[in-house]
Amino acid sequence: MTRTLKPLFAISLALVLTLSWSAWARAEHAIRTEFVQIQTEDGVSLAGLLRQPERGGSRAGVVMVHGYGGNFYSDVMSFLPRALAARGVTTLAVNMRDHDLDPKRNRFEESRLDIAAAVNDLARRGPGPLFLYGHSMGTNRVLYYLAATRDPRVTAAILTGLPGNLFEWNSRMFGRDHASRVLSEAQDLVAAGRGDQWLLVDLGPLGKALYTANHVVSLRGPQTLSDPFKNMSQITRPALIVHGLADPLADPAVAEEIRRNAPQPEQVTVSLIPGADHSFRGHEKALEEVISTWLLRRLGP
Amino acid sequence: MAKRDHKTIGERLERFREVRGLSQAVVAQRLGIQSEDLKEVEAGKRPLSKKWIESLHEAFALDPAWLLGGKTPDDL
Repeated sequence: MTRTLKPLFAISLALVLTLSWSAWARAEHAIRTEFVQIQTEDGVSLAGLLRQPERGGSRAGVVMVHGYGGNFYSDVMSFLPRALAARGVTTLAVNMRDHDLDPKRNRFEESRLDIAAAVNDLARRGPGPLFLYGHSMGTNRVLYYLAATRDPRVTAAILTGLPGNLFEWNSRMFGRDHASRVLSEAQDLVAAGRGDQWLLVDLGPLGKALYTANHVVSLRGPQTLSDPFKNMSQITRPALIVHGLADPLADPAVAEEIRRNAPQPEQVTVSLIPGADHSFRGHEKALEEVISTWLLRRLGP
Repeated sequence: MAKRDHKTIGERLERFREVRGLSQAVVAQRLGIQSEDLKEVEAGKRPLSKKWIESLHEAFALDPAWLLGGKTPDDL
């Protein structure tokens, strides 16, 4: 490179970097974030993060519900809301009451109260048509909420990484005998009026964990309200199901099974992402694209 | 340790965490590390140090042999 071209090249490079940085900064600033504290009807305080498009108004609102080992800011709950807000969709990612709780003592059905509080909060802000999003065990929570409340404010559901029936999931992990033994012990305690008693569960190489009997029975008992197949059979509104084909935690076949259980399966879209794991690592863009395209299409022009 | 091994160990760690219902924040806090570090281990981007393996065993009774052994993250 000649002596005269070198400074020109350096200036051009600096200009490109400056413009790229300012475009990125503009995109980041196009989202307004706000920490929120919401109250459930039984008095539990939940933290969450609201992301709103800064300009152009909000086209829709999504309440985002995490799974068993999640919270409002981890993995999918972090990158997906940012992507949606950048496309004009307001999101409220909120902690469920069992977030970061170790050991677990909550009952599954309490999820309904947590989701209701989040839906109430977002609906009050008027962001446009409301959607409910769930990831992993958050899908069980979302389907239960919709089946139990038939909340007319919710337009549709978006579900990713579905574990399916939680007793079956546990059986796949630890064997049916082990899963049945733990459940039976928990059921005996609940039947004896000692549901709040702690159970020390041997998880083999995964160590030993404490759960209350009520917690185990509410998640995996025969009368559980967490069964997504039963709940889906009562939901008539549209749904999008996205599953990674390389998900080692949740069987991708569950996606199609859930769709078949819907009263109107044609209203349910299943999208499978090759190579994606449970957290969609390395496939974040693909997930963002599938969800935002489906969601925005539902809103019309 | 090869990258593939890091990935498998990371997947096993995530499996342990999800089965136990523990967030990255809770596990990281018990190990005295940052959540971001744990996230990188789970993603197979960095190795799990001997100290962290010992801490995982101490804090959660997680079996180091399971974490490091086997060919797939599925074996329990």
